[in-house]
Amino acid sequence: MVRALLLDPFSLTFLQRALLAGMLAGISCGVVGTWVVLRKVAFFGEALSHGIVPGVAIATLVGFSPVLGAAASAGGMVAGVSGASRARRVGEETAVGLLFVGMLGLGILIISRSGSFAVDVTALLFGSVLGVRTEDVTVAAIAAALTLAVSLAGYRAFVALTADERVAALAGFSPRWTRVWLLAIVAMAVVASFRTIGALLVVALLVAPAASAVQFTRRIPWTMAIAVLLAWSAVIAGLLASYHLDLAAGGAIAVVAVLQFAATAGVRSMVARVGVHAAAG
Amino acid sequence: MSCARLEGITVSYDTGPTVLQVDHLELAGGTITALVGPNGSGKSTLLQVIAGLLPPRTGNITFGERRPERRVVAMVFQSSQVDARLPLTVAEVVAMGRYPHRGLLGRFRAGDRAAVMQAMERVDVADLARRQLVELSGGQRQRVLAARALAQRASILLLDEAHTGLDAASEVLIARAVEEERDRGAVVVAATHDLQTAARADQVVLLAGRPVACGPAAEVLVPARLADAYGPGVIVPTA
Repeated sequence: MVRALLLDPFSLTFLQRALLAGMLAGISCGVVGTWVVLRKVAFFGEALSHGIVPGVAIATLVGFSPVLGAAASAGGMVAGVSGASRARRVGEETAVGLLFVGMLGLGILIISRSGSFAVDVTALLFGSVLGVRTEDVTVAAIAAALTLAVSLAGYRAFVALTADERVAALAGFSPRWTRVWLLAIVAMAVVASFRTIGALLVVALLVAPAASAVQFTRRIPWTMAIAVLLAWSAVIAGLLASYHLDLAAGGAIAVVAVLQFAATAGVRSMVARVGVHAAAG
Repeated sequence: MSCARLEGITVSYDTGPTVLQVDHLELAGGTITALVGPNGSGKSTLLQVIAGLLPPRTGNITFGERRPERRVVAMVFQSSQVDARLPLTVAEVVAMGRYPHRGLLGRFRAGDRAAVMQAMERVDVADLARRQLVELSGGQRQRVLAARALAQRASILLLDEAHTGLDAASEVLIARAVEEERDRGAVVVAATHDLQTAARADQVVLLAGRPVACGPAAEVLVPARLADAYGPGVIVPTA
């Protein structure tokens, strides 16, 4: 019974690939998502994930690798979001918001004018377990290795930037370039994840596990480790739900990740309340 | 002892008007300089210029004969401006004071760890080393931020309203540590609204978009001078 429920689905090759790609995406998203949550820039993560749509659409139409198209688009978004930080009159968030709806709109325009079904919009936006190829697993592995390496090498700069940009500047870490590196690894995580979970839902894997982990951890490396474990469990549970209940895998993974957050937030709130009562008693 | 010199400094935000003008200001090593003045007078702006956080439109700053390097400037910010909910321990926050010396990848040495421990002990937060900022009182948090700057062992120590809203114990501990920095030859500059704190400094600079008076506290913190910055008819308590 348990074997049929939990193990048998993963005897299928396409689910094995999806699982592997999802677990690798979980590493990228858990590590990078920790910085995103601590820096409170989830909106930028969302903007980057939506911004890959035109790149994927163009690449698919011209028969180019969708992953490389996504990477090119994400590179453009990183440059655009970095430039938006100078938009003082309208504010950075407004500029980024306009950029991301502009990119998403452009993607939809390209798809609507393609005159064919060359671009599977549903798979692009919401992910597709069937669509995960060996090439995607390789990209996810490279992205996981790079995001880990950059997070480790840039750890002090990211910590200082997260604590206070002025502290980063005084330490000799350029806040601007540190932000660009941070956006770059967010982009890598997005590119590595969109095939499994979809461009619209990847932000769930980026933000929810880290937001859940940060409620119980006292140090950043632990937050990252627990975020990765939570992302893995969301991927496994999402894929199993997708298989058994015939649901969209991306949606299932996203819902599980958000439910994890709701559960941990509830527990955290209860623990805090018990602590207050104990102190008052 | 080296001295920090500011010459012909003007500061403006974007293409806006000049918000600070300093023709000439000398900040000697081994002295504490208090920056006083009303809101918007340029106290924090001047500190940011000295720290290199805000490039002046014109003019230059030298320390000794050269531009001050990053690692020689430490700054204490107000604890209310720092996100206390970050998953960082007190020891990790104080260790950031060694980042300017070790850079991104340099391994922490015994000297770095000693500097961190000593800084925590000087402001009495060593026993809080494993706690998080969110678990501390406002005064304790401010002492942790002071410890971070002390751990840097910088030649220029800047304090931006670091004494504001502190309990008496925290104020005494930070004041003592600041005096020790002065005694080892550091240039210490503190922006403050508290004229009683300013009165204990070796030199006071009264600002109103530019220095309107500079000298010993007894000469600067007098009603006639203070009226130049705060305006006539404003009673400024000094006792």
